[in-house]
Amino acid sequence: MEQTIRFKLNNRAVSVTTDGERPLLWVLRADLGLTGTKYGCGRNQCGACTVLIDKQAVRSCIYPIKNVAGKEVVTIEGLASGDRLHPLQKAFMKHGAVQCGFCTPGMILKSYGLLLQNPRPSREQIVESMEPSLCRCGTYSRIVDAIQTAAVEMKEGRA
Amino acid sequence: MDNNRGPLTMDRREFVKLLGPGLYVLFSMDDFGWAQQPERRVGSYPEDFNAYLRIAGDGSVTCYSGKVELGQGIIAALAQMLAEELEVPFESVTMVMGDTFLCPWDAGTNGSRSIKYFGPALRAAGAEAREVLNEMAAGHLGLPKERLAAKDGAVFEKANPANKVTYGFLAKGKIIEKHLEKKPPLKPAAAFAVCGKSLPRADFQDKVTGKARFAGDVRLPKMLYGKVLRPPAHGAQLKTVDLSGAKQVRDAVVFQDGDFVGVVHPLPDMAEKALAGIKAEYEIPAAVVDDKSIYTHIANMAAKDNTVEQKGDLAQGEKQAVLKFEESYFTPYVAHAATETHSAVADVRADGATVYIGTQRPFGADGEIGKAIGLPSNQVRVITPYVGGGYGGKSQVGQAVQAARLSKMAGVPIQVVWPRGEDFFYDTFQPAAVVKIRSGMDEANRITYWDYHVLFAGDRSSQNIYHVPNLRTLSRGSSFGGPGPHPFGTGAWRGPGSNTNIFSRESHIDLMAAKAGLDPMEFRLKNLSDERMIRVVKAAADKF
Repeated sequence: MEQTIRFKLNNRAVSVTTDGERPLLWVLRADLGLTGTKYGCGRNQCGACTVLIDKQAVRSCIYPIKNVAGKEVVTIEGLASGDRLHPLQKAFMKHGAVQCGFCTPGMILKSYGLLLQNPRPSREQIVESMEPSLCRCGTYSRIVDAIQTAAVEMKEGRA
Repeated sequence: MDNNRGPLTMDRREFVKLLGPGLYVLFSMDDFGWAQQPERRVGSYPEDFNAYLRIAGDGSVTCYSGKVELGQGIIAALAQMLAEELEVPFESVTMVMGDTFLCPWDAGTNGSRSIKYFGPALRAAGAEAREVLNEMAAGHLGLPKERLAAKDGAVFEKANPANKVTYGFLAKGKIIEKHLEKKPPLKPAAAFAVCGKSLPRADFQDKVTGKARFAGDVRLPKMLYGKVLRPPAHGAQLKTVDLSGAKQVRDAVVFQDGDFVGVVHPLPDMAEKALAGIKAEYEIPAAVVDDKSIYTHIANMAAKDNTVEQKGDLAQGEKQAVLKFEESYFTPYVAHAATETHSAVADVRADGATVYIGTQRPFGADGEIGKAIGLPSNQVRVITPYVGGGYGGKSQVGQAVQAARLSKMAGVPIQVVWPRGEDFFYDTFQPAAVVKIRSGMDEANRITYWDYHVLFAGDRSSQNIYHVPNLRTLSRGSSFGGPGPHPFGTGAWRGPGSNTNIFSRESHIDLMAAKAGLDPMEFRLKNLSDERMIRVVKAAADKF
């Protein structure tokens, strides 16, 4: 059913009028032109489409757009403030936790969700949290290193 | 651009001859047009250094490579190689990769061959350009070449470095019509100042900010999203199709050309919804094999055996053996499953097509697409954005052919992104394989014979690394192509052949050691004679 959904996207108020059952992923990518959030499987299996909704990491490919009404959505495009990169973005670059880069936005948002819940995760907790997010190039250990580095910087308030 | 198109009417070299010797003629790229770039040849790398690089008036350098960035990092490594030979700052080099109208021909980005095979051609181009610029600078400065040197994108007088001229001033962003008869030598590794360093990759910032554009992120005016009807099984034939369900979805348009049926829509998820409304009946061939019977099927499949290596006498080796072993090893089909599924955007017009593809093989794709839509390959421009992983699986461009066919029918640009299910179904899998090994060892635990037979997985890395006096290595059939011996497409997958062959060989070595009650590491070292391999095995054991 077509409906108008208002929500906050990367700190800006947006409204879309569309079928409320459509996945958030496609509304972001096609209707709103934010292509940083990736389609990997469409079945909640890979994590490439991960975004933050009210500070929780959520997979946008199975999340109906109607459910974001009144909520706050953050995508990869909303992480940096101007030219200043987020500590996670800097850490992913520093540790070379990027190869093809297709899973990267989802990895960064997933880890951001973790650090918002648990600012000082152990390595084991990071691995456990990131486990369901898939990287086919094989950057896993570097991603864990990057998250540890970013956690330190965020804790010290340099975000 | 001026209207004096005179030079276009004659061959460029003829034109240069008319001008006489001693002149360094600079051509604007615009004088030639995309398809007439210097030496756009298929099958080998160009001789002309202009095909690899262009130096703008401000000194910035553009490097052209038919190789593509899949995540392996050649966007930095190739820039380093060019910067090293050309003597320009690494930061001044911008890479243009996988654009068939701008870049020199390339067979494809696979087999870990970018640095090893394209690298030397690129370095040679950089070195020759540097020497030509030196000669041009000698003319400009009125000094003999021997008194000059190049560094940081400028040529200067060795005795007076302030007396210099920049590459940008000399080249002005144009094609340099001057070449050397004798190609300058490449720098020895000991002299490297840029190569061998870990330098920032130009793609990183785009990739951590969401700005990186993959084929599925391309947006063109009037572009629609296409979804293609797929059969439920390999080899299934479309019998009847009812399109009415798809047409009920608002804004959906359905196209049919024989058994090729596609839906286009302004929204990708709605295109998929419309496609689901199509009712189709197929004639499905009975499956010949399943995941259990495939190994028997492969083992019984006849094909010519290729002798990879042979030495000594197997019968002699058997006589010397006190322990004999005979085992078969099986590896399953494995999908590439790159996180980015096969994606493309095609903009087909009467006079040419532009196709954005996440591909490892832009050259070749142009011809394949052209054939499907009735255009010569030089009127199909393939542009390769960032590729979201390939691992050998992105050499096939079926999705781009589909996008082009739909674009031709719809008259607007079409994006086709395969759903994950299609990406698995139409993958060119690492082939399932059977490896049969017979071997034996003597009382001193030395391997006396090794009879190795790999079936339909390819011979790469099938050669024995151990010191065995009597051995034979056979490889049957091809591992690529299909359907054929394999029921669906197979192809290169992350070290094709090696996964199967090394798994089988080393599993068998473990088995021999275990049955003889020996430590697997000691058994290996006892049977290795190649010093380099001994070091490799020791290093692997340390890391394990």
